[in-house]
Amino acid sequence: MKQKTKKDFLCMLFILPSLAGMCIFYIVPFLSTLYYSLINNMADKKWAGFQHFASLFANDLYMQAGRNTLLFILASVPTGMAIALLLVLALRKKKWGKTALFFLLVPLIVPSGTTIAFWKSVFGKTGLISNLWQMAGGGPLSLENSGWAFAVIVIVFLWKNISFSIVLFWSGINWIPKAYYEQSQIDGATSWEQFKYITWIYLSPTTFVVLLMSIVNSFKVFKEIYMLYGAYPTPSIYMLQHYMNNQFTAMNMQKLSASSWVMFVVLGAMLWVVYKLQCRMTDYSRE
Amino acid sequence: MRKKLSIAAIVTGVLLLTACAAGNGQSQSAGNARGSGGQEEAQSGEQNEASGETSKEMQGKIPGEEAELKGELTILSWFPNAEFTWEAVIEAFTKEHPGVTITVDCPKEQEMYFENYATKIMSGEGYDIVQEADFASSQKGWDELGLFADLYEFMESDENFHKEDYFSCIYGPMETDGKLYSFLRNAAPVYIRMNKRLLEQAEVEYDKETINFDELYEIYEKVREKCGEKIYLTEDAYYNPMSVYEETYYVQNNLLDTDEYEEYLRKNHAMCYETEKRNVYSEFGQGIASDVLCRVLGINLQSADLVNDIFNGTEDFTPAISYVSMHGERYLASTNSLSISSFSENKALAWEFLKFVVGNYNVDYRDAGFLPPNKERTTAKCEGVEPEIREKLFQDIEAINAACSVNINLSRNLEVILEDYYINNTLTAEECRKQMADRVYLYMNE
Repeated sequence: MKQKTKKDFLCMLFILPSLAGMCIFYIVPFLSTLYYSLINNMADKKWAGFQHFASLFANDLYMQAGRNTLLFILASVPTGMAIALLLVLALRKKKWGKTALFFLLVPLIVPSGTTIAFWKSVFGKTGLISNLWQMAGGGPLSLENSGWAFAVIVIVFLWKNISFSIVLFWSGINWIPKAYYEQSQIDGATSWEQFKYITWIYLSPTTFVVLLMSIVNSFKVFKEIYMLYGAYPTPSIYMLQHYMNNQFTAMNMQKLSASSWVMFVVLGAMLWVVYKLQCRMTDYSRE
Repeated sequence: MRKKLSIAAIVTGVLLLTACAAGNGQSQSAGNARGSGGQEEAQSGEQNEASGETSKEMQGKIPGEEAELKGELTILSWFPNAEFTWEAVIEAFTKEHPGVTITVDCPKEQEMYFENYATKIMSGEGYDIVQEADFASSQKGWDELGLFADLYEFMESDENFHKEDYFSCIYGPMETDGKLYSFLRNAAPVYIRMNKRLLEQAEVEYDKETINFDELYEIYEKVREKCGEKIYLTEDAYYNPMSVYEETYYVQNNLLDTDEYEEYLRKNHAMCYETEKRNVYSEFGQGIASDVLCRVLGINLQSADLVNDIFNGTEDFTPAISYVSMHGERYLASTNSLSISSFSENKALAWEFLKFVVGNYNVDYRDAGFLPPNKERTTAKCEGVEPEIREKLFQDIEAINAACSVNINLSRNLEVILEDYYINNTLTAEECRKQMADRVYLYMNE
């Protein structure tokens, strides 16, 4: 018992620097935002209770931003995962698969500014799509102010983030013993049956990780959207991150903090549900 | 083990948070005490000085005779890399008050202005003085957030400050709900100078002292009818610079999605012939190109001869005409202003410095390009300007009744739409109006 306590103490001592750093730079600021969300303003610092939270949910624009964000996640995450998985399945059997994989990873390392410059040259007013459209007889095309703005940001997200999913799926698939496929082949299983009964099952832990990371990454796409469309884009792509960014420039730390905590709770709930699903579905001891 | 780690992390976090909150509260209350105490000290110091002194007598006094001020001030500058613009005034002030230290934070990029400001606010400190340039009155809610001190309180408690020493435009147009959160530095009205030769060629006369958008449109149409289609309204904008003044009204009142605004868009589009930015200052200097109708300007007092020419007219230009918007607003040419932060622990000192910057002190550099809000300073700068012109200029300044500014991030988005409409012709007036209204809807309802 004494030895266990001593061991625990030593472990704590080793992780203390990291824990202290984590507390100072992440946890304390994070908890501070809860405090900021409960006061009236940064000057007076009088208790306001949940007034700011209530005003968020009473704000139609905020709710619209929430819906747009949810729609974006529903559109981009499953699509990205499906495309990544299909690419991995297609490429892993090819001799040049690894070479192709290398090029597919390029978007992962390209800086956001370069990404935006590229997409502007494709989707911008004087970009490739607009020029092709005009050559086909149409007028000048401004996608950012049209109904296609949403599709553009989904494409940008997919282009930027599929690489990460591909990496995870690739390593996940390579972990599956080849003997399973060989045995199933001997038993006369089709490709689809191999996928359904071997790949999909044994890839499920990786799939859940990809799902979690994709959901988290879907919130990071704001950087590209902001650089493409600015702080006040067309309402159909006005997201929660726009709301929060604009509250930052408006120096309204209270609304910013309140909306951050709402996002934390909602995102945390989503990720918790996914995690629980994963635990349930990948608990092999139950079978 | 995991449980112990979790408990340790939570306890550490709560303890640190408690310590931070307690520290913030103490420093805030101490700061407030120092701030109010400092103000009282400044006031009692001023009261203890020789009786019968007026603010005018105090101004321009030789160093060392004024109440001694001490402390540190921090200034957040709106303009990036603009330390040099503050050097002379800081040097002059600290020469008179050697116990004062002033530092200026000039962000390297415009975006860093908000980051620096937010960081300071989150730390509970803030700057003592904040410069807000052209977006002061448009930063909705900054006043509600309590970020700035009400300058009227300083004015009313300062015996040495006399409101009548300053033009009235620094009060009304800059007020928010009866409070004044920023002190204007540039009281320049907006003028238009018309191309005299072009008007003569078109046989158009205009001798009124003011002009609005509709009248300008009529003149433009007449000139184009007589002189040909290819007439530029102004020489240095994609679309006429008066747009910023006209559209401010629609934006601030959320009237973009109206027929009236659409009509304005159509008229403005008719005048925006040029599709490329055309800057001919280097080619024509003080003259104007033969196919450009007018030039828009805000007066500065760097040269009395230039001011006389502007208002008397020259071979190239008609006398300057004061611009009035369609809805009767006479705007300030810019809203470069200074505010005292609520977080400041040296509010009294900040007020003294602010008065120094905007008051009647002879620090030449800082007025370059500005029309000072202090009447005596402006009068001094008008040396050489003809008396009638000076009188007209003062009247026009006093007639200013609106401050024009739009949130910088919103304006970037709106400019993209306006370029699509005016330059790229990818939008109809109706589409432009709708898209503008959509963006402003987001801004107004956040």
